[in-house]
Amino acid sequence: MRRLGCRDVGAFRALYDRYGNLVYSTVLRIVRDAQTAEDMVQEIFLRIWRKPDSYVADRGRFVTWLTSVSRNRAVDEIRSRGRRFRYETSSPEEQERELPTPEINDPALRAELADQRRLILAALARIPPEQKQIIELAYFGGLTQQEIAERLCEPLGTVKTRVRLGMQKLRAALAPEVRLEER
Amino acid sequence: MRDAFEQLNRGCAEAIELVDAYALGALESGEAGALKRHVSDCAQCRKELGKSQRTAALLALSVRIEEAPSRLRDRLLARAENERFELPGWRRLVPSRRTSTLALAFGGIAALAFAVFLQAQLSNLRGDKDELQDQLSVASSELDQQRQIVAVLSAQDTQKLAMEPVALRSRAESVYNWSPDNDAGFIVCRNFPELAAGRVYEVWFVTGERAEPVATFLPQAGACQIPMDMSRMNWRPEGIAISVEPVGGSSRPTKPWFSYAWFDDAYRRAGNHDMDVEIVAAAIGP
Repeated sequence: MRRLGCRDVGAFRALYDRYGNLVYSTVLRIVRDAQTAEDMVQEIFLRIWRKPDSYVADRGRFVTWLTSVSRNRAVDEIRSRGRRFRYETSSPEEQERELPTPEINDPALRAELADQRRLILAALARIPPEQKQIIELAYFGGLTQQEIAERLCEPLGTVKTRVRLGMQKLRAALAPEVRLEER
Repeated sequence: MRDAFEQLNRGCAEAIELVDAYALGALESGEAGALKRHVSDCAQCRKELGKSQRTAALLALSVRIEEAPSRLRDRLLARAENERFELPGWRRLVPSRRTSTLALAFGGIAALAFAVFLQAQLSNLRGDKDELQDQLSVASSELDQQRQIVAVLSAQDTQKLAMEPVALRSRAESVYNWSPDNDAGFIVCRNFPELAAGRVYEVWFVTGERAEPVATFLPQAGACQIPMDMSRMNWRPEGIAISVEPVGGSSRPTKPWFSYAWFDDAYRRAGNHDMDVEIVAAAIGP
């Protein structure tokens, strides 16, 4: 990131090669449109190119900061278009699938992300489906609790309770990973 | 908004109930704003919110990795290469955050010292009381504006958008900087032409059907720095534009845009190529 501040295009290329597919996959999962995802990945990386100091190292790991920025930008996009993509969760088979090997151009990062993905999917699999569904509708679908309640025809109070219970379980299951982020 | 704020005033228990939904981005804006205000003064709730946010951030790592098209890499690297030599010009106008923050902090201190000086003068020069009060009010207002600009530049979510002048040969340049978290932004500009007497530049937030006035300004030697408070905005603009209006500003644009930018380039690509014409027509009306 320091090299980006010196306008080093080689450093920018290395950054994209390392994280480009991850950012693209995160955005695509939310906007569900390849062309839109491409445009947004370009925008996200150009923003980093223009403002490399927007990442502050003591607020967590770069990879989670980057995926959070990508997620937030993608959610802004679908909200601003007033579009509500029909949200479909991945099938269990898809979720169990191993991280494909060729797409991340860094063996250490690939292995680390594959391990983390397994942990996170396992944690999600352990929480009740109705809680998991609401967490995914909020995080990947960009819906508010009120919108989720309307979509699922559930009382708002029920949705709020499921958010809290589901997140409590996730926090407990992912506590070691969260501590890693705090370091 | 008010309900949420009052609810949070009752204590931390209610705030803790909201942190998970906030971390997932699932709170309505009123509740989210109230929680943000609460955690800004409450270390314990801030810590809980941090844990929830770090947990939520991990969810993004659960996605299945897809391969991005190779043309995207080519396009992106070409843009970076092109911009490599473009940015310094803007950096002169909009210095790096650290430089800006320092410069503006010094500006703020200077403005504060000026305000204190004026206050002392006020007690000594009773005859000039009204005039000095006016000056104090101006200094105080300038200090508020500097604070707002510092807040935008210091925010983690600050975004920047270059606005395009409509006239092909115009040398006018302007950039809109804003922070959604702070509900604030500002425009910096240079090379803006001097206007005829009785005219000002007016800033608008726009959509395809709507144009709302935000601020009016007269550049100094072609340059400007216009803070904007968006905390009362309850709609989402699709673009920002500047037009030339009579002094005092207009409630609707009376002239075509002098300069404009769209927050979402993709919107334009989605078939709205003539949107600038449409917006002007819609905004000006029959």
